[in-house]
Amino acid sequence: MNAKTSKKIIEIKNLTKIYQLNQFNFKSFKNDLLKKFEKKKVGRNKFIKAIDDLTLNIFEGDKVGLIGKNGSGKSTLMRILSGITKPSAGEVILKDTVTSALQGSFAFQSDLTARDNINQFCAFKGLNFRKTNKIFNTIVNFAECENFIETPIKRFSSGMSMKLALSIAIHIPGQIMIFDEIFNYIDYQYKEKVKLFIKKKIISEGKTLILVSHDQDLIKDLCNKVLLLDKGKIKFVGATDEGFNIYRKSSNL
Amino acid sequence: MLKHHYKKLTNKDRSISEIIREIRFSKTIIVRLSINKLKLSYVQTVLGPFYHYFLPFFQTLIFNFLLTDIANVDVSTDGKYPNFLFYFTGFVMWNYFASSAIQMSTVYLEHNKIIENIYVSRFAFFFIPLINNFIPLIMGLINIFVMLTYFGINDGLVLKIFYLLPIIFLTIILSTTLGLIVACLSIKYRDIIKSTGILLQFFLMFSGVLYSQGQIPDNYQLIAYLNPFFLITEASRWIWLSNPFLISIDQILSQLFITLIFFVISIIIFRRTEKNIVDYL
Repeated sequence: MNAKTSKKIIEIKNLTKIYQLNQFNFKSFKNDLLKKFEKKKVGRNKFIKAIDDLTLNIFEGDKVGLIGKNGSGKSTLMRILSGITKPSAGEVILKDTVTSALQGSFAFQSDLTARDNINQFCAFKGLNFRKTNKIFNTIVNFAECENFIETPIKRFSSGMSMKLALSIAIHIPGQIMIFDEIFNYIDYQYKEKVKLFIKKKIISEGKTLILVSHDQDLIKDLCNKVLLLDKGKIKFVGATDEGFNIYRKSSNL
Repeated sequence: MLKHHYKKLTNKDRSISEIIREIRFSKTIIVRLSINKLKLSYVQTVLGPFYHYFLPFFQTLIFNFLLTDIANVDVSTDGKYPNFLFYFTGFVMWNYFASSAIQMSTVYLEHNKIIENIYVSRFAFFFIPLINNFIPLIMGLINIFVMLTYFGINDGLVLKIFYLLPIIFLTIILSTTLGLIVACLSIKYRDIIKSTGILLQFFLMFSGVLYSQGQIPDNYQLIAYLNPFFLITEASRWIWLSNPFLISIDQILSQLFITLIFFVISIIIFRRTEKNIVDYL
């Protein structure tokens, strides 16, 4: 996927992720029991393959834009790479530290103040008290929330909490940066500020970026290649323009 | 920059050594989560942690009224101390066990937002109730000490008080065992979590909190013989109230063996279920 001289930083081998579709209730419990006792009989629960036998290598310094329709497996892949959910089959080998910010609410606890949430999140990413103190002010200043640091997150607007989440994610050390729809809710100015920061960081520190977005301009701006997913399988890997052309054609646009 | 890092993500159960290594590296997470949980517990309260100072008093007063004044139960104090103290010493340890177990059984559901958005050691969450419930435990132990001093029955207490450490350790193991089993089994089907309260009420009746081993008729002694919580209540009363310690060595061994068996089962269940937690939450 990259220049042959680069080192593989992520190896994905025959990765499959299966989700159960139906609700866990008496019926699914009965099906689970049937599966246990009647081994030959396939369970009657409904399943979906969110990722289907995916094999891929990502190299050090790659800037990959992950594109595809809703339900194509982008977010599931990001969640597996972030360690949040485990593969159903296959394996992923991560050869360096990962920092991730996934779409939605982040892992904030709404009753806690911004200060407590920053400290807690840094701890989740393996930073001890000393290391957290070192980057604390940088995170706060970048998020432009100096005056709200003792305010509970529940009083933050969606944009403010997303700004803080982004600031934490980009300042936490990690060679592999994984971002999934991170620019929702935030204003244009802040988006440009983060884009510039990510660009600088990627270049100066040789980081690897995996970015999920439906924003073509953003991916073209930050990534040098795209990975197009369709029903959990790879449809295309390569140059961004070509990738978007195939994506548009497959979407009948 | 963090140190070089290699991680293999598969569908396999992790080894015990991997889990222990992860807990060792999760010290900061455990401290932060515990501090933040404490803050959240007392947010918008007037009494704050002092709530725990009064709760066991009221709880014991009710049981003391029901059992001593209405049911006229004799707990064989020989007039050395009021029945209230007998119940109180049992309830302090019981409350630590029951509160920790109940809180542990819901840690995954309570922290689902974190678990669904970022990878955090699953076992780290089980330390939060154990650490935070030390506050009511210590308050209860101080209360006992103050009352014993008031009634003038603290002879030899300084030497015996060190026996509290293994007793507290055993309580931690028991509550972790129950908490782990309920938390892990109830992620997919939540029926178990709904019955934990009733299960604990039932267990309280057979735990030695409301009576001592000496009061159990001979044909029911097996309950005390197999139930590890009797070791906790009987030892606590021996430490604090100088009650006769009726538990034999073979009874201690059988109780510890049962504790160990259930603890191993809880770890096996944790290992089998931890990888699927986020998919079932």
